[in-house]
Amino acid sequence: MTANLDPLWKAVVEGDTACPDGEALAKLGSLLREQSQCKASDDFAVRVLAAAQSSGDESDLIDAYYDDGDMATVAAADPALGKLRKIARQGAQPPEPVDLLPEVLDNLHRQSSRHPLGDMDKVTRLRVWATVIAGHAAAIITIVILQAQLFKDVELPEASDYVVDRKDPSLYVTISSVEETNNPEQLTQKMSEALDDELPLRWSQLRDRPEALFLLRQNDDLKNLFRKFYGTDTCQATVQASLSWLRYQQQENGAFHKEGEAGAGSRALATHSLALLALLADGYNDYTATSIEKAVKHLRQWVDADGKIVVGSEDVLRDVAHGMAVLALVESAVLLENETLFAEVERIVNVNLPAQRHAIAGLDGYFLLAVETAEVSGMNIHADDLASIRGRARTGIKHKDAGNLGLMALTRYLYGHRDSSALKKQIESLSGLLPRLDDKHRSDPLSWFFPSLAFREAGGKDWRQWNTALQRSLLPCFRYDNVENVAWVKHQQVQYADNDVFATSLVLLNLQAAHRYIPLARSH
Amino acid sequence: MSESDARLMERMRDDDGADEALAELVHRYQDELVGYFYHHCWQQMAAEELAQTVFIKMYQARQRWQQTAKVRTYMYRIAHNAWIDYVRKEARNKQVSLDAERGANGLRLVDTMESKDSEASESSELNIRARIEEAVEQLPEGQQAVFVLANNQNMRYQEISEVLGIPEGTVKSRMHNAVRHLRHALKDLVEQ
Repeated sequence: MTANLDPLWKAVVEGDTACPDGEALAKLGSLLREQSQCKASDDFAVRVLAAAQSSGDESDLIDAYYDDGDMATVAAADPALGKLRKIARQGAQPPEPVDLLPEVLDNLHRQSSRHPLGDMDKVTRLRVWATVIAGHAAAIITIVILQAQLFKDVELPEASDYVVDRKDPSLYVTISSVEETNNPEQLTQKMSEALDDELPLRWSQLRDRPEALFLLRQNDDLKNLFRKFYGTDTCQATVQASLSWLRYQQQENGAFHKEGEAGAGSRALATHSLALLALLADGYNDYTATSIEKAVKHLRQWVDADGKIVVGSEDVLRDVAHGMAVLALVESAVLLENETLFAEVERIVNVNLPAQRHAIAGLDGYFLLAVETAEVSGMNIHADDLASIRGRARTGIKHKDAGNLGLMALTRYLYGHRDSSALKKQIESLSGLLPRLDDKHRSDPLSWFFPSLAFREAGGKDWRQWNTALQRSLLPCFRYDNVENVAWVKHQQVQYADNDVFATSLVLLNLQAAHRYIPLARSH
Repeated sequence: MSESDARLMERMRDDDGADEALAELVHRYQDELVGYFYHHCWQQMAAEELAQTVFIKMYQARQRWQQTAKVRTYMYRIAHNAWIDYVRKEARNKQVSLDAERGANGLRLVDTMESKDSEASESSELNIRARIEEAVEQLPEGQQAVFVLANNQNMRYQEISEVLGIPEGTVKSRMHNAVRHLRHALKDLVEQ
């Protein structure tokens, strides 16, 4: 063998020290041989045999159990196998009941209504589009006529007994129970007339009518009707004074705070986005238009050339700010009806969406709202990213605090799962987490925003209970300037806030919940 | 007496009864199909989206379905392929995720919030679920697929081999390994 001639081999294997470093190599060989010895070779052989035997037995049992269906016998012989099957099956039970049919049919319907158009020749396609456009025009004319007639026969309750007394904000908490004195069916009827359609069961049904989602913001009469109906008219003076205060805070460059006053990086982004969201919730109108346009321009400075929102480095608010900014941009794009902005925001949503896919849902609900709004408004959102963020929002939440529960409940309403038993449980749980000030007399509007939107959908007693507690907690936080007729919230009175614009805007979002979005139908 | 799956597939081919047949099929299989995906991804909504995809694909391919194919097996073949697609897309998207940038201490606002009842919510049931989730996720993908189909969907090796397109012997060995791993990982739960 040639190996025998190799001095290196001879040194290591045979211990021949003739070659250079022979002693060291011989020692290495000896050491390796020593260490590779099995100390109890007899036991090892026995163990291998036993393992092979037991492995064979176990394999047979597994086959008998799973493939032969001989479960009872096998489970008696090896109870652990039966138990493993049971707990693994239990663990695979989805936490909530499943009802896929509406979504499946909805998807199929959408697909089937899309494809034929692509197959048509040009003339037929033109005819179809002409019919669609004529139909829309007719619908718009009908809506205008109906709106003119809308409030003639609505019996609104008497003016609430709410007293505006700026010296004693606690008086702001007299909540009128308008819903009890008004007729919900009548309100639903009026909404249907304004929409020229039934109220939607879920947001996806609004896909071709983005204007409907913000109908309450853009229509002052409907907005006031809803404020009364949901008992938020009682704090309307405060809301308007706060919006005025926000506008006063706005700088020439569109920012709602002076350089450095709202902290660095994402904190500044969150502050600016929240203020813009509060203004947008009032609608894009003569009163808010200039501020909104300037604010949008300023917000776009956080977007880089690729469409990615660039926030500061490490900051606990980073992800939430991200969602808030995208939501503000999407709502602006829809309300301003600016095609360039619309296209730009569509790109921003898609560029930023993948980053959210693996996030814990939590308060990334802002991003979820942004994406769903974008989807409704007709933006082309990447389907996989959309599915993923939806999944995260509904099931990726582990904490059962008000914010997370509220988000889970809200998503169920938005997706048309009003009858879900899980939703009922969530609303029940939220009813036990009604807003109240903490030990340091601070409110927590960040956690209450999603529950406020969810309870608005729940309506009835649940909403009244939540709304009463919400206003009792939030309204005493306001400071008032009678000369300028403005109101704001000191950040020391709001958890997680470090500037007054952030605090005031967040509180406002909660108080605007009643008219933020079109309500969804309460029954099929 | 309820109609057979094959009869439902046939009815789906007719324009008249297609929607009703689809509805029946969805009602019949939605829970187990969502459960199948849930055991893979542990997110109900993602599982529901995937299950929806399967029903939609079955509907769209209804004219191509052949009577010789068992409907349930056919459905799970679609489901398995849907899952593979999903995993591939997820893997691609992970490359651009910002999660990695967050780092171990990348606290977010939601993490800083006091979760008053989070401890209470960590019931033993949730703990067990988390343990199972962890143990199943540790299985290699092939073993996981076989185990879920056998254990949760009550499929025999032959049927699993048809769904996954692998030899029956491979199904068998994967099943043995999966069960051994899970028995070991969940020893305290299954042998108490």
